[in-house]
Amino acid sequence: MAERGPDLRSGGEPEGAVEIHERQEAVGRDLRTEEMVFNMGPQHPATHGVLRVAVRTDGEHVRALQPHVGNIHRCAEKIGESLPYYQWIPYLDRMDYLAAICNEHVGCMAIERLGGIEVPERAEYIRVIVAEVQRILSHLMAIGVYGLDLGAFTPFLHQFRERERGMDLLDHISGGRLLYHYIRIGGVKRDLSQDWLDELDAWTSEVERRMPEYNTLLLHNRVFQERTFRVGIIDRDTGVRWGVTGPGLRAAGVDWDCRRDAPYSIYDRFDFEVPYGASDIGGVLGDCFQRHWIRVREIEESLKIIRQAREQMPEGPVMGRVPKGFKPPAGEVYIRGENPRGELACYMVSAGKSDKAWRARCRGPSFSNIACITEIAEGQLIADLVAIIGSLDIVLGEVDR
Amino acid sequence: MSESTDTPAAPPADPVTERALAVLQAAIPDGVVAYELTGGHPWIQVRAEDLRAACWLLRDHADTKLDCCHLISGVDWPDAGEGGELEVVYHLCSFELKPEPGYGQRALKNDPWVALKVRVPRDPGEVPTVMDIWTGADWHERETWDLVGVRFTGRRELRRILLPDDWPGHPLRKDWEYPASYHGVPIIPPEGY
Amino acid sequence: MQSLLDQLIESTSWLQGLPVGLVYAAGMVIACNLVLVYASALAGETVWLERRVSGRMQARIGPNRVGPQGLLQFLADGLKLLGKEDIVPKTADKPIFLIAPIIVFVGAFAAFAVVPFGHYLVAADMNVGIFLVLSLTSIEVVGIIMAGWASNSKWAILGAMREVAQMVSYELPLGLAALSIVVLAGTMNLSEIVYQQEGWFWNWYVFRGPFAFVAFFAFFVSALAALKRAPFDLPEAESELVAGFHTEYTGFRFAVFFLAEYAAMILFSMVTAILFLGGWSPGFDIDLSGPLSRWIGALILFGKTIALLFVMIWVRWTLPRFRIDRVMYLCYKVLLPVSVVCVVGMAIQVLLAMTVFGGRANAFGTWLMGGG
Repeated sequence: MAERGPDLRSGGEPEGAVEIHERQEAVGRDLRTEEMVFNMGPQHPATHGVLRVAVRTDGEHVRALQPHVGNIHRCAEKIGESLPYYQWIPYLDRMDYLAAICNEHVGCMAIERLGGIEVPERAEYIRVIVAEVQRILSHLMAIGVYGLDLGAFTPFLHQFRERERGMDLLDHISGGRLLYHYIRIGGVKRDLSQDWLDELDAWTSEVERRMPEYNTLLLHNRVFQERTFRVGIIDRDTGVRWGVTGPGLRAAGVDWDCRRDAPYSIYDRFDFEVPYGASDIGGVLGDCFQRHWIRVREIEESLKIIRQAREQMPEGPVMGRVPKGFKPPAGEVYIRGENPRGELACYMVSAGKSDKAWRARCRGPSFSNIACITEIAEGQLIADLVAIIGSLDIVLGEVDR
Repeated sequence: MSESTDTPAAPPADPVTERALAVLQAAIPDGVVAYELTGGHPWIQVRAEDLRAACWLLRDHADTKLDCCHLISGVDWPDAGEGGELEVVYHLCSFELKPEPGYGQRALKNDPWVALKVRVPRDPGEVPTVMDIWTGADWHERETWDLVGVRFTGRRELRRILLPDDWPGHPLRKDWEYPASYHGVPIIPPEGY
Repeated sequence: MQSLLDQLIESTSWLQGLPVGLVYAAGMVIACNLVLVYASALAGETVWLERRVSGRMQARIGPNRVGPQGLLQFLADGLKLLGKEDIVPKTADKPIFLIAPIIVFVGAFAAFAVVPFGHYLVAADMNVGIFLVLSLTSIEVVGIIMAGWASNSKWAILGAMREVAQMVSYELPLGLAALSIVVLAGTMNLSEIVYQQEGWFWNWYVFRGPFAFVAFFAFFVSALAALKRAPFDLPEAESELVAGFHTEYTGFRFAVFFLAEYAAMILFSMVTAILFLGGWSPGFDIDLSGPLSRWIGALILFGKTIALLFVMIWVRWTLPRFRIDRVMYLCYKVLLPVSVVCVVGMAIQVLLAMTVFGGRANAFGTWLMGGG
């Protein structure tokens, strides 16, 4: 039965599967078997936080599963309604704590659009640079932790070395290691110094130099490929239907990246590729391997963007004019931005004459991404369930908000 | 929040929303209650009873192909209508139809999504589900029920998702009051609330 | 051991006055204790080795505070674990839960009795040595399924299930690969097997023909799997099963599992070195059977063991984990056929050496047939 496992997994062809079911039923007649319900999480090494997945298993096979979220709900939307706009920004950091800058970016853009605030040119470039640094950090983490989920400990710690230096970079401009509150309404908090930019250059070339090394450890590793090929397939239809976005959707063959197709900020000024579809290394469209591969490729593209932004960056102020006691007129705004994990969207409603939002709504990409595991993980092995959750790269802070 | 008027001086309308409106008006002429096509956040409001028909149309019609339900948000308007209204906003987008070239350079709205709105009386606040149209709407509907208290009808298990199952009320309603305590733990509302 | 004791009795006058059986018994007890202490300390140091090596591989330092270079870290860890509360889950099957670590420990350590550490340096020089090693290590499975079952935890039972499936499967290629060496050597006595490999390094069994060479890899990979070392560490895959069969164990009972695992690692490294890599033979023609030089031989075997341990550690910290179906695939579809071919091929090789190549009459025949 064991070697027939992959047949079951690939979903389409049931020729071996029928036979297996018959055999299992035959076993069931003679031997009393029972399905077992596991609670994977909220304290489990592979659920990336406090996700609880109730799994009904038949031996090693997952028969059904139900994710339960909300364990770290921190009322981000309620807080958004209760605090003045500018005070809400730090709470956005805490949603997706591995991509805090990207969250701030989208949140600030929404508020700026609501109040008609202009952002200086230089600030836009700085925003793009730090957001792309953040994307690389987040993807490094995602790739490393994915290795950890599959039992490879070493790549994780190697990537932490680069991540550490990248976090130092952001630390130097914002004072925070993980949660920055660097992007403000109307611009950014501090200008970038020449030293910092030199440091950035050193770091980007270091990351570029190290990536092939990490790819040898994971991407081109036969064991890694065996674990991820044809596992957890999210095809185009499933992904779009469930609202999966980001690398998960691009791995399913959808050529869509908000940065290129609906350019916010100044992303339309850069020349970069959007990796999508299946890699030429192997596997099938939409499996765990492609999601991992997309992240690896996106790191390279982010490096490109950083270099271009670094060259084009003009001089000038970094903070626009924001009226004191900022009270935007009545209206609504919907902004979405490409986070490392998918599309973060911010829907803000202002009732006017108030410094607080009437409704502050955020779409966490992980929230939609994780919802689909009920469908894609059914019938797979428990080890594959871990691989799938890891490849979706969820951050529970964002799911629960 | 006003009905659009076709004065020539008006700013250009959003082509994506315009197309969606045309599709809706052709099929369910009475369904569209109000719309706005210009500005940064164009929207179309439909009647609650026509919502599902409108969603099916927008998803499957060749002109719109809005195959992804990006976000469902509930907004509480306690002063609107008689006894307040709940507004549910569906932000829909399409991964199949690419916007025409040059769309991304538009100043106010450079993102090809369509906002569909529905307004229902605050009590009972019932809106038909769209979960069978976009599977991903499942969790968004649960969240909207959980936080805003919009009752989605015709779907299975409308359970709370973020808050505990026995949490009192729906916190994003404007008249929601902090409970004095939860399971014996006193709750101190934040200052200035 | 017996011969060593005989020598001792001959040379010591007051021992001759005592009954022979008593001397033998006392000698055995002392020897076994020495082996136990040696193996335990070695297991502890292997933990240290693993942590330091993995530290180096992962761009960090590893334990370096307790003792020189952190060599005594295992003592500190052991003391810490001794001080921990010994928790028995309420729903656990208490007697089985308590006895399981002991069985695992016994299974791993008892086999050291027949393993020669050097010339004559063996607690029990048995003629069924390799057979006993393989059977004693399979006792471990019993302890592990007891631990998994008695914990009454779902993760533990799943880990134990995987463990049993894996270990029972890999016993087959492991045993068959060892069997091909037994065919070549014509004996199951581990000391005897080493004697046959003395001399130059081409006398090592791993180099005696293609079948032995392949059997070496089959044996080592099967040993990795039987030891549940990464990439075969599914029974205790921390990212899947939390900690597998020892999820519910705390304090010293956990330490016992831990120690047994590392002891088994050493055991298999040592057995691999003895079966394939010439044991204490340094690889060139030198006599190491003297009373002092045998300790040099012991050091050489120790070095080979460490080298194999290093490979195990290296593999563990490099590769991701296999999936259970791939593990079974590797066992039944790759290693098992390969090791069967090794046994049959080895028998043919020995037969050919006896008939075609003139058996013991010429050097090549002797080299090809070993002791068979």
